Amino acid sequence: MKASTVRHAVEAHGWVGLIISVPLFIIFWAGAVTLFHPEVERWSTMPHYPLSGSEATLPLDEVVEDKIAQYDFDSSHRLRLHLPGEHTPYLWMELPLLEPLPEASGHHAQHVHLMIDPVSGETLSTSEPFQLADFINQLHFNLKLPQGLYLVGIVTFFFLVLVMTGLVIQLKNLFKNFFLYRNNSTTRSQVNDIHTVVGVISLPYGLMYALTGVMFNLSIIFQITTMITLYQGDMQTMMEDAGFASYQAEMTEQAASMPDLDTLLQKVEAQANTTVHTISIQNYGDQSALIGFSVLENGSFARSVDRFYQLSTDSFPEAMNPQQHNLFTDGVNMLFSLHMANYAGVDLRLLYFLLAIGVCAMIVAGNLLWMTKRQKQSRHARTLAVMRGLTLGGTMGTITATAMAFLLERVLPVALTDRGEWMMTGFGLTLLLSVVMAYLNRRYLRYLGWSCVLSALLLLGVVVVDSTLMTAVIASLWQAGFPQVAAISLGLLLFALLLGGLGLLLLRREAKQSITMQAGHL
Amino acid sequence: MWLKTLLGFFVSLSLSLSLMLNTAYLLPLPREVYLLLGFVGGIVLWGVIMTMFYCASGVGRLMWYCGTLLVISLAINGAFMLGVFA
Repeated sequence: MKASTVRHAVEAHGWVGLIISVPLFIIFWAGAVTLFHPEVERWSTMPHYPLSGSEATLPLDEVVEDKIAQYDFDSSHRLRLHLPGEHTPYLWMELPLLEPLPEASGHHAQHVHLMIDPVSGETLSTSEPFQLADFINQLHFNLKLPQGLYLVGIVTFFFLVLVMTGLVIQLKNLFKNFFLYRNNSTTRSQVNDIHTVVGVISLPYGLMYALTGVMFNLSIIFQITTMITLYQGDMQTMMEDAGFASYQAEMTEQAASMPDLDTLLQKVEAQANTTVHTISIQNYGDQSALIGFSVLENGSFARSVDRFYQLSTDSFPEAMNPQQHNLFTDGVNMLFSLHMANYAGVDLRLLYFLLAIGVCAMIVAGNLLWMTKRQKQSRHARTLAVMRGLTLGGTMGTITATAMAFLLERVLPVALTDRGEWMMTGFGLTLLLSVVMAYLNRRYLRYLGWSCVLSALLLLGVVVVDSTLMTAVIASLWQAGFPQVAAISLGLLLFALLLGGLGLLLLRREAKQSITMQAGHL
Repeated sequence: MWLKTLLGFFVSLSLSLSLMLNTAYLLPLPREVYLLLGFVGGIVLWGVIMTMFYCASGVGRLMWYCGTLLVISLAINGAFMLGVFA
């Protein structure tokens, strides 16, 4: 590799890295937390709406008919059922309505989302008060911003470029300095080593995330180009070739009785050794009704298929249910599963989590390298303060804001109107405050140290609430077969201790540096 | 750096899209295979070309190479779309 090529790669790596550091950090941080989406959702919800853990659930037809009778149901739109399983212990129903519910009820859409106890059939909630898990998931996918999906796609693309330029820079020393960490060297060298070691170790992981992230968020560019050129604008044919065919059934206005959903579900599961996770029903109660089953193949890595039942023919028509698998769908599903780790058990997801946290540490280390270099030059103090506020405040602030969101999710009253909005506002304000504090605080080690300590205290607050006010319910949930709630509390405690320890370490180092500097002045 | 970024972003995107389209026209692949190959390959190629932009001393020479390749690639795609090779 020519020296000038490496020099240009270093320049670009630093420049691009600094510009995308904050959104990239949020994407990775939220991605790390959202790996435990099902567990966090259980942790939020189950202490307030505990389940017995009984396997004797009510027949689906009975539940559907009961709920339809309670609302102004619009049968011309899709009714969806998300079945209890690994992802959620509740039965979720998405019911389309003829008239939107008044705003005071907490709903603004044409759908009502019902959280149902699958054993008793009782509606537990209609207002979705627990939104932490989904909020973090959205932060990961679209930063909770308008058009955020594309913004995240572009950031991820530049992350791919960062991985590639990093490879160009480290290619010569990739194996020689694989685990090089100079413990007795200067802070700058140590930070540099952290950045490099984590970057090299997480290279395959980073590459997979960068590639799949661009695929999911910027796929529209490739879709449009392919549709216009190869398919002459025929979107339907392109989607069929890609294995994403959707079927629309026209209403006949002829009433018909619906088939037994549980029998159909068992038939689908038995036919191809699959597990159904979602059922969607078009034209409910009409002769043209079409029932779709989204299933995961048991024993396969991540093969997901849809099966359609047509009421008029009382069959699963072959035209809608091709036996042959589609390579594109299988490939994309496999990459999606690799990205989300939804095929993995807790152990593998913990490994994913550690790697993601490693990438977060790498981003902060990269920022510190840039900051210390510029601080020594002592020029453009205002610009430096702004950059410090945006980068260090934006990254460390995300951790503190997440801790605040966890605390709010636990302590806000369940009946509070727009509870989710309050939690998100708390997140946003904490992040903003962190940026301001980083802007005002010139000594970045002190800022980092105090941020870690504050985040640890907030998380400890959550653990205190769990272990005092919620102990009995968390223990009974554990006994009923839902240990995830206690596991998340324990995870938060461990993370709080780690953050607290790191914060104290940084503060001690900062104090030592200050004494050395004062001695130097004397 | 801004010039490299802006030029690199759009030129590398156009080039990767066009080259992937060439594979669809020139290689006898089933459509679903092409869709997956074009999707994954197109993104990797996009990243590689963008990295080349960043690693280059100046954008002039790289622009000339990429521009030439893009014109040839677009010509092949155009010919297929207009039915010249049909």
